[in-house]
Amino acid sequence: MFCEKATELVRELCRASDGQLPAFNEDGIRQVLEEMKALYEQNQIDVNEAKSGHSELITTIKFRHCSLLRNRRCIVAYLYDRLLRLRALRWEYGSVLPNAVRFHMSADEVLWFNQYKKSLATYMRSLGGGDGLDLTQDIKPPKNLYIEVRCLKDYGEFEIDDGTTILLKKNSQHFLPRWKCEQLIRQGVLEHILS
Amino acid sequence: MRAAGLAEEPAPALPGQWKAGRRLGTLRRRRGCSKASWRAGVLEVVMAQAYAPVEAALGPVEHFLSLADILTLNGRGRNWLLRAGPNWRGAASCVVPGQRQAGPRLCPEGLSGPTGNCTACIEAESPTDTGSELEIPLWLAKGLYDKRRVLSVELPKIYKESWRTVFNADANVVDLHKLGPYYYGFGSQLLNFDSPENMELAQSILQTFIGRFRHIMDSSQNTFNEDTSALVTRLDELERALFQTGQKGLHDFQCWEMGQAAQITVSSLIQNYKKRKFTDMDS
Repeated sequence: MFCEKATELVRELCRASDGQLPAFNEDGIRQVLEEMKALYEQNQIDVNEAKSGHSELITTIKFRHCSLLRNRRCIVAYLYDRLLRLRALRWEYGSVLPNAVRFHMSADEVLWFNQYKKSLATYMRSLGGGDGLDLTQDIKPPKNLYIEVRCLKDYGEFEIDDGTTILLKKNSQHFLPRWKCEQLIRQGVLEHILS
Repeated sequence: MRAAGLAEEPAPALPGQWKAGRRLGTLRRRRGCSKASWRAGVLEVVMAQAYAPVEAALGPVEHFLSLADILTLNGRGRNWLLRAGPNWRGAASCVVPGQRQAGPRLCPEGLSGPTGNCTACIEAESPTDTGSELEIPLWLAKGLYDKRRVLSVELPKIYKESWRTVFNADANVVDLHKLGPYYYGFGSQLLNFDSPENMELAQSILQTFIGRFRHIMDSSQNTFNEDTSALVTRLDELERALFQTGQKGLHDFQCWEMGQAAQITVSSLIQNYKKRKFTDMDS
């Protein structure tokens, strides 16, 4: 059946439904594009024949045309959904993605991601009367400016805004400014302790 | 090192909420879960919030970019039947092997080999090809269906009268995932083909949902930190999403009640990545 490959692409994304980014299936896309090219060429031949009176070809042409449209839709949806996932990663991980994710991106996606980062940064800088506002901070309303955290792994030295450096060692506990460590908590380096 | 001094959130004042919360609280104690494992269970359910896929549109119109809609339209199922109408000949006559050597031939079974001996091909080749029945996916049927009556569509078995009676009797006992798995989406797409049974079909789908909704809502609101796979297996994809939404609401409420709503937690997306890294290393 035509469009099997394209549907397989979509199904691949659906399987990773929790928002993870599977590896970019370049081979699959190429195969779909080849199929589309063959369909298109075949259709062109038949269209010319249909013009010269073979009206019984119309159904065939329509059949191929449906397949073309279907392939196009699958690919567009595949690429679009990946962009949604990439956008989510920017909000979860911050601006630097881990290697495991970056290897799964295509060159164009890397470009898109960088531009998204840039426009998001520009927008956040323009907020708050020119001072800038980090929108990824304080996703949950803060109760206190300082929070208590526990290290879950050896992270190394960490500098807070008054200039002092602290050593984030596994199982050590610290009392830190919330805005400094929110990102690290979301990344799983620190754990937020409620008293 | 100072004590954090974070005050616990006050217990909710509304009596109804309090009651529900206490019921679940006793549930936790009775099951002997520690608070830590309790919390771990909570974490697992909270889905990646930053990523929200394009939702499926329900009804005769579909959403172009929705992955679920694309898969719905792919459904042909074992029961999806299409009766080629009087004008189908046009399509059939050009499937005859040998007429086109280069490129893929038109064949409902797809790009078959040079022999082209799939059943659909042979059927279509024969001169009496009008009225032959083909099984094709819904997106193709939708594309080919037009005023020229190239094909007439027969409803799949589970949307026919006999199954509708079953759904009417008790929709709760049916395993929609096995029959579907996109029962509602597929059914409402079928309304595009002006079949005389459209009215009954739409009614039946709606009634099925109404009949099953209560059970789904109850089970998703009252299963906390338990294995839900048994509850979910018989649900259609749409119902599964509904179930997950209910579970998430329940967990968020529980978090708030235990004073954890203000806690910053690990992003579940990142957590899943970490889990996968482990499996990669193992293999």
